[in-house]
Amino acid sequence: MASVIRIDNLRKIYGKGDNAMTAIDGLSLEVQSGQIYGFLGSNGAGKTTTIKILLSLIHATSGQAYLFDTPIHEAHDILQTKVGALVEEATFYPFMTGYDNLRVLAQSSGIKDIEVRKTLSLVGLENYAKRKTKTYSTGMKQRLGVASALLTNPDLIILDEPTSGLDPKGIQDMRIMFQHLAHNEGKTIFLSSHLLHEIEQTCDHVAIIHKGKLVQEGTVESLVSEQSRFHIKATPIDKAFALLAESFSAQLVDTKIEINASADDIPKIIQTLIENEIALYEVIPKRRTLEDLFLDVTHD
Amino acid sequence: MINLIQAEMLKTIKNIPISLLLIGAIPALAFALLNVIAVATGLGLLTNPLTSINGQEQVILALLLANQVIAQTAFIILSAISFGGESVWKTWKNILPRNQRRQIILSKFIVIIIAITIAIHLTGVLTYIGSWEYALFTDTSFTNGAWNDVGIPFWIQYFVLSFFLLIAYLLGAIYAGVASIQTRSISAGIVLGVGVTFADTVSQPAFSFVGRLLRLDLIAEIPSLLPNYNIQNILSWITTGTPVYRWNLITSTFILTVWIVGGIALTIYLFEQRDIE
Repeated sequence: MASVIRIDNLRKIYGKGDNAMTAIDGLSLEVQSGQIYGFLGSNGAGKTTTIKILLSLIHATSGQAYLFDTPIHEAHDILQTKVGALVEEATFYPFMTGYDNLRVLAQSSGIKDIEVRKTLSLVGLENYAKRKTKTYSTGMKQRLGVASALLTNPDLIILDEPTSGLDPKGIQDMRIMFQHLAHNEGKTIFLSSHLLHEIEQTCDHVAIIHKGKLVQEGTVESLVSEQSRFHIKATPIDKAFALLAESFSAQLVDTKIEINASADDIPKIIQTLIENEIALYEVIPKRRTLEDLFLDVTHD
Repeated sequence: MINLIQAEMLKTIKNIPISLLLIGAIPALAFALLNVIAVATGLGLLTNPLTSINGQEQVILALLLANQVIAQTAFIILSAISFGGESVWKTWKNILPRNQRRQIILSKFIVIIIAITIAIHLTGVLTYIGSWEYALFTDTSFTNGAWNDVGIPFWIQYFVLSFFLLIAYLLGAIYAGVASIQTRSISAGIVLGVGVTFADTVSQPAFSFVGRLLRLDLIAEIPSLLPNYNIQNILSWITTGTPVYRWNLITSTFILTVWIVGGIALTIYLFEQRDIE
């Protein structure tokens, strides 16, 4: 598959001297065509800074980012024709209607007005098109923001917290739309969000960044099943815990031992416990969620 | 680029109250003033000192009077809204990825130039109509003819004056644009734009005073390189037939061109360096 986004050792430092703050610290990642790529991180992790560098809104201190294998400082045409984006909260000219706000963006990209109407319908705003955006709710503004990202029918859609302010139905509609765009129309979606459950349901690939560094990357399935969690009930529990803690990350939770291990390790665990004359009552797999993984890898 | 200019014009047009007020303020004032005087004279509230009114002369007079900081302020505000508004409404992030930064800045200045041009010519047309109405209401004879009989035909006077009025307004708009981009604020753009424009208009006495104080003649010469000095120089040519200051028309035009091109280039340079937060 072709590389749509490639980031090599990217670094961004705000300020100088004693006031310098490293927002991105040697970040590298790659997004392939057709992926829905989730970009996770706590507040201040560097997600929005990375997206702004990709969109040429801010300049990287060092390193390089590529869009469709073109360095971003040479990617003006690509940004105009192949990339649509929504950065942070959707913002518009308050004195203009939703329709006119999109017309401004359409005209600046050489897009016909008919596309504006189509895109407004796509995000369910056709009935609010003639209202000034200053009267829009947060959710409506966010929908209009997604519409502005989709206006040029781009190959790559970069969305920073797109479901922020949407109600559950709106979030579901967006998820269905993103999946449709990726799976049926071959679009690549780079999606930054705080909503871990949402990312888990929507994305096929995930990168987690923490303090500007990539700490985990892979398919959602591989990341959540890679190191599954098991609850083990055994007696005497102290002896069982001591044995398991020698080989695995384990902790005592009430009357059970919680360990991080792969499914392949389970026969060995059972054998070890039995050989050491420990009565084993149950081994229950606890599927790890993206939230568990996120909290693990971003825990200082 | 054409697409960008269209988009920028749409934005300006859709900001209806602001655009109408700023672009229409000077022409409306000229028209209203003539009509108020005409009606007041017609009603006998004012005595008519004129036996005839020269419509073309009134147009030139109105444009000469329009070369004031107060009139420039309209386009300083328009420019501050155009550049600073994108920061205030956080809309740079919507338009920047779609276009090159220098093209965005140029398109904004082109739309400001269009707005100024409309305002100047509307002032000329409405002043002419207002003068004709004045003649009608006050039973004064209406004539035509160039300003001051300096041997320069009206249309040359009119277009040269319009052009250098445009330059004067554009300079104020550039100051406001640079200030708005740097401060990310509309109000700071207006204050700094008006401040720099006003400072330029008082630069001659100010530098002359400092030069005398420090006994350095060179300091007193500095205003000759500033825009206002050269605009006044050219306007004096229109009204008296000769430049009033040390430079000839070509030198003054060259200095003004450097200020305009330099100002726009500086705006582009500063904007290209800027991170959009």
